[in-house]
Amino acid sequence: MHVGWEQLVDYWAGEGDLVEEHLFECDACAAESTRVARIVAAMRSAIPPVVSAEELSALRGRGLAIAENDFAPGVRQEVEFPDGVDLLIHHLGGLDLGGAERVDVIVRVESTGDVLWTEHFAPFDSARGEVLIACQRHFAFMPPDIVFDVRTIDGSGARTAGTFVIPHHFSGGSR
Amino acid sequence: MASESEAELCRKFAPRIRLYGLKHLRDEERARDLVQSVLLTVLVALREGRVEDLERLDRFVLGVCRNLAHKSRAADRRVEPVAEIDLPAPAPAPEDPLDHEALLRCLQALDLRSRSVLHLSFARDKSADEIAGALETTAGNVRVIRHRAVAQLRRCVEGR
Repeated sequence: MHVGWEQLVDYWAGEGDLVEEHLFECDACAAESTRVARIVAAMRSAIPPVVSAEELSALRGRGLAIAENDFAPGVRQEVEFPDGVDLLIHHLGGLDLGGAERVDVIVRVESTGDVLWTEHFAPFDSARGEVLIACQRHFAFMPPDIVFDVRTIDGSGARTAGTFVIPHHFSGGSR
Repeated sequence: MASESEAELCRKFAPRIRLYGLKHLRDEERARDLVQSVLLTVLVALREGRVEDLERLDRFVLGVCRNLAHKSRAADRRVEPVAEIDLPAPAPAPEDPLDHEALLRCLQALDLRSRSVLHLSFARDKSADEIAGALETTAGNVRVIRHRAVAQLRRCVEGR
């Protein structure tokens, strides 16, 4: 009797440690678990699109070349991803995040309205009124006219705390 | 135990201990330290005749994993070796990690909801219930999306 794919995925998602004994006994299940682990490890080690101050500090500790820019809501501001930089941090500031139980960041294309990504449970700093976007060079394949909507969720519902229109230019001819 | 038997034991259990470490300590370096420490502890116990049921050695190894990983988490530091003996077989090198750009390309082939479920499950450690609340669906549906999305990612990154 082997552990099913569903159980393995649940196990790696933190649900169901009951399969653990079997994974130590069974060669086939241990091998299958390794395949799931490889994907999970990659997901965990990828830099998330929205980072906390602690995660930013850890990224600095890894020696990444990081450039930072400040943005205010409602102000259109272009940004360039220069050569020699690994990571561009957008400080989306001027936000009233007091009382927010959760913050979601919606990344959409200005010209089409297409939603590229929604970061649910985005890390945020309510004292500074700030959310940190980690813009990465491999995002260059995305459309350049990017808009970030920062949405707060609390007991009374959801509201948009700020919208940031940030057209991106990647150096090196990526766009 | 003959050294060849010990080497075989190391070859069998080292990858499983590493997986246990990755799951519970979430760090490749700490997982590799755990492999060393658990194998050393088990070998010393075997040599001193302290393993009562050799037929269930796998459970003994798992128990040592749990104890040492718990200590590592509690102290928030890497596991330190418990004995000054050489392992009869080297710890396995970690597998080649997935290239992040390849992963991103495969993720882009998934729908937005599947990508969100994977990110929240594995990068943000959110439970199925929490994810269900954010995505306005059920925990059961979150699990189904997760199973399918990981399977699709696996096929993509393995080139199948």
